[in-house]
Amino acid sequence: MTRPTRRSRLLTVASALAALLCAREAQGGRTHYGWLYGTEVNPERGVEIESWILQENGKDGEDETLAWWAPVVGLTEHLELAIPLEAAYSAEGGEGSTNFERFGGELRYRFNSPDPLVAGPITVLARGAVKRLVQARSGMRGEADLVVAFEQGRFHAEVDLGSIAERVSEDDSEVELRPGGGFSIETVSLLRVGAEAYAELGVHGETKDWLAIGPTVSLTRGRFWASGTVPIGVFGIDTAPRINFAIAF
Amino acid sequence: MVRAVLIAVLALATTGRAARADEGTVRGTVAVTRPAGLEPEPIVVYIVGFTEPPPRRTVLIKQRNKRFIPPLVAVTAGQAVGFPNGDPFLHNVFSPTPLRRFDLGSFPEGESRERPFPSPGVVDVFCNIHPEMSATILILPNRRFAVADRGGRFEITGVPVGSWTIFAYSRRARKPVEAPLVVKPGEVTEVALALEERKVEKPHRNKFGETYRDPEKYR
Repeated sequence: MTRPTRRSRLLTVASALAALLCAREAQGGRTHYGWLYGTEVNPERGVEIESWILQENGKDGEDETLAWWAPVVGLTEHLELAIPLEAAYSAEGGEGSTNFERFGGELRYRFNSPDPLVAGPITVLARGAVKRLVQARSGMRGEADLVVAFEQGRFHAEVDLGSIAERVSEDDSEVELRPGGGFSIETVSLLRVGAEAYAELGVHGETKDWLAIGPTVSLTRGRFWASGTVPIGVFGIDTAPRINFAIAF
Repeated sequence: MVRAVLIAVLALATTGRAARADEGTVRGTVAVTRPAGLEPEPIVVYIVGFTEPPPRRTVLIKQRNKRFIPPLVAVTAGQAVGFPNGDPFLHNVFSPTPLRRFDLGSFPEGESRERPFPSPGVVDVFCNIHPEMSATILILPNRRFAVADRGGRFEITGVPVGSWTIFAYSRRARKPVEAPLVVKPGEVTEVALALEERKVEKPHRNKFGETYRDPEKYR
């Protein structure tokens, strides 16, 4: 076997860079924000592997890290299905543990045409998820979101009205509202910057309310997209950084 | 009286679009030279200089035997193109052209998807699964265009009176040929155009901007 020469290695790197720079916009179910869902869905029969890593630091003495992973499949032009697996690390008072937390299924329905030209500037997506709690064998969790986005030229803004209801046992359940909003502006070559605000507000049960605001960045390249945010807590939390990334097939 | 009106309406309906005094006809030929062995492809002849609203009819580009049929269509800006799948397997029709990017996803035999094309220009259409499939959509500002027959002959009726430019477009020509055109009321204007085809289909990338995978390599 011959070893690659310096020239061939340079050519390989140059080719990879050229491929990256020539890459076109992905059409997957991406979001431009950290904590907010987007209104795009995968093309019909398109498959995307989507991952999130999010942290809630200093939430009333508690730290949490959640890893979310799911294949996301475009069932029709309007509807996509995700099958998420969630693992979480949580620590309170210095002691922490990592657990396989939840799994389930979620549907995301885009009311508008998948074609931005036909859809117009305002698009709406509804999301519903049902998940099993791994550690509480009879536990269930339901999630719902209504996302409304506005896009005009390079400017994008949206509001995500989210909520969860979790039943761990007969006498342990909680309901939270999870509203958020943000804006994003395309700068160069599908790199977007903006800001978002996101909150988790308890309606029922022992929940810890918090609100954070911070900058958002997102990037789309070929079959890859990523978005992230580093919000600073306004109340109830120190920071809530989050990154989402996906690769389409 | 009613009978007379009915007859007049029926007469208009059966004769179609009546010839108008402020219109003329353009008739002519496109002489095409192409390398030996190349199968003829459609040649579209169109006139530029005025705009017209699009017809409601959806133009079809069928997917059959891993080919787009026809490989070249012309539509009026605002008109829709449908993409029915006539193959017993999936196709994923998409366009990377910045003027009109779209991705129809993958859909099976017997189904169709359509998209409108509101802005004049040229749009390339490919299949993300089959790299050999390619088509071109010419989005024109008016309805005054025609596809030349095998002998290169064409006729365009209802052309407004005035001075315009006429073009002949082939997917294989380096660029369309053009000629000035003067249309006179009620007259037939004869045009002769010559087009040289030489370009063979150049490779394109898939919808992610990557080279298509070689099926032999991954088998």
